Amino acid sequence: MDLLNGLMTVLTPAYLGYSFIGCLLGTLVGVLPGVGAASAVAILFPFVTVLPPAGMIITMAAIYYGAQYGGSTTAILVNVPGEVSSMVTAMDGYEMTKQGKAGPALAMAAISSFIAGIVGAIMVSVVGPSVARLALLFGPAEYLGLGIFSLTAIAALAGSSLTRAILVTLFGMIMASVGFDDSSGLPRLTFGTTALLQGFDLVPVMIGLFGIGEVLASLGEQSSRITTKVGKLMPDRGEMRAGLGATGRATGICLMLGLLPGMMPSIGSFVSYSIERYRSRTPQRFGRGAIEGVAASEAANNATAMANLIPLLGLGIPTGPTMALMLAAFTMYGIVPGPLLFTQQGPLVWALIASFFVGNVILLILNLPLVGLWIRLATIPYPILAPIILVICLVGAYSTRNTMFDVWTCALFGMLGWSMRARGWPLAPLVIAFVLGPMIERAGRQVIAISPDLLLHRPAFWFFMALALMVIWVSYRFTIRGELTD
Amino acid sequence: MQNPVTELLVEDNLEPAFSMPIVASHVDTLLLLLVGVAGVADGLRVILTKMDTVGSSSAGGWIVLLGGLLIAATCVHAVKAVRAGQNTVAVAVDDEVRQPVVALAMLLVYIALINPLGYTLSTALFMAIYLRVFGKYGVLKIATISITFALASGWLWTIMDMMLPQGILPWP
Repeated sequence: MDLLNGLMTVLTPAYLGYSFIGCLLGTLVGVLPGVGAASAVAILFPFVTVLPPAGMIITMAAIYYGAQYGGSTTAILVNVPGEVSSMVTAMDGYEMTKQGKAGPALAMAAISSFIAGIVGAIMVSVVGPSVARLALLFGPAEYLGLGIFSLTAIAALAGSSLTRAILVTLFGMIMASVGFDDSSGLPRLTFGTTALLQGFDLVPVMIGLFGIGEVLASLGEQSSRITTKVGKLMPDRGEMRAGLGATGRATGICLMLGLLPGMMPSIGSFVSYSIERYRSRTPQRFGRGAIEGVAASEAANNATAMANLIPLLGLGIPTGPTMALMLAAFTMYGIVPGPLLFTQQGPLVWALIASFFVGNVILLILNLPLVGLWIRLATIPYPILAPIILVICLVGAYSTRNTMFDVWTCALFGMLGWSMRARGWPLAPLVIAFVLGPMIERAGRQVIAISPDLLLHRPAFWFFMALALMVIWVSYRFTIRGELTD
Repeated sequence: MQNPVTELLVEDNLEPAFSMPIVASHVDTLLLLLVGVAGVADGLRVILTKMDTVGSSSAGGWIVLLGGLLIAATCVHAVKAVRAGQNTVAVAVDDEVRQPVVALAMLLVYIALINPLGYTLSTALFMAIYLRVFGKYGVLKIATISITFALASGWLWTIMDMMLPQGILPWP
């Protein structure tokens, strides 16, 4: 019933317009070489804050999955993935393009994304409220445990070096502490400067790390001109059957995996691709234009992204950089994701969930006919695109609080993001630590204020600690390559 | 996406592009140690100088904890790096490092000029110099793109009610 009400809200011209604009903007920015989904959301976030709360959140969600699709378009056509998860798509998608099958690759990517998005939206509508009800039982001890587990999971899954991920996590938590302390009102880490009293805002930090950092990292790459025509669009029957099978499997697996903190779309893509190759009777086709590779990667992408929303909406825990921005969007309007969200902001949440269905349909209808336009955009020379993106990033950072401090913050974190990428340091733990650090601090101080013995009487805290240790152990046993960062 | 990778050459028989002092090649470790020490120092400052403020010990204690953990983890990282034989002797510098550094320098100058010159003028200037340095386009093309983008974007921000620095021009 709630979902039906949400659908009726979203099917009004205004909200349809928000979804459409979000999908269009997201795809447009996502198509640009060197700009991934997280970067697109970070760059466009300040500009959608002019919209009303529901409109902004719906538009941001549409930008996110629009940008994911845009990223796979450049991955398939010019072998320039906008982000790590698109790298998996490029492995077979670009090979298909070289074989003159760009159309079927693009179509399969769109269809897989659509199916995974719809199934994921159904799961969010079913599981989300249950998770929120469970979280109503959480107190400071449980949130402390959950926060520590989330950070540990993200650090463990972020790259090949756990030590580096931990270092970045601690660094992020320290950066988040700059400015006034909420409880005592005391300035921390300001070193007597008035500029630092306001602290670092998440939005300029994100835009710097994922916008400016990405552009700087892409500067050394030559953008390829697309020489292959797209040609016939739809896969043949055999390709469709193979692709749909891979889509189903990837969707099922990643909807479960995506519930875990740290399980970002990129990891889901790698896992699903590996499973498809493992179970295939002809694994040698993978990496040489296997449509199952494209389908699995794209479905995994969307399924993980949708599942990531459940911890965000139900618990208030972002599982990746983009979810951290969604959290910032919510809190901007005084809406607190977590256990009370479904009760206090029910119409907004159900409108958001309903918008996923609508947005995925819009994306499917919008993108296949407009492939030619996206190709033209992707061929704009990078020396023209790069300064435009950089200026937009800085304006976005400025618009957060109308202060040049945020512009300098954006540039500083852009430099940091580029050098971290260059030296193989993971970025995602920094962002998540920036968001979760204050929550963990608040929960920890509440526990101490109530009684340190509280932890002994809260089994859920020890459950999360055990999970954290298990994740660390698993990451040591099955080391995932350092490319798995968003 | 292939990230630009700074190659760390450890073989002594290879001619390095240029030599870096060992200290400079461990800049990550040094920066992290600096942040950790700053955290501990400032946390102790909060605890010791604001004892009469409620919550000062937990406010400062949190920073001391984070700083201490960062120092400890950095030391572990440094020891692991030394044991793994990552004593760098050279860093290869190519376009993948040079271009981002140049772009970053231009960006920083652009930011410094936004307030005195205003958004429109500084943006047109930034675009023009960037296009010249990286695109090597002709004067006419550079002028067209820079001025068009600066004016069009300034108009767009005005419509979106964004108050950007005006500088010496009366608009936006």
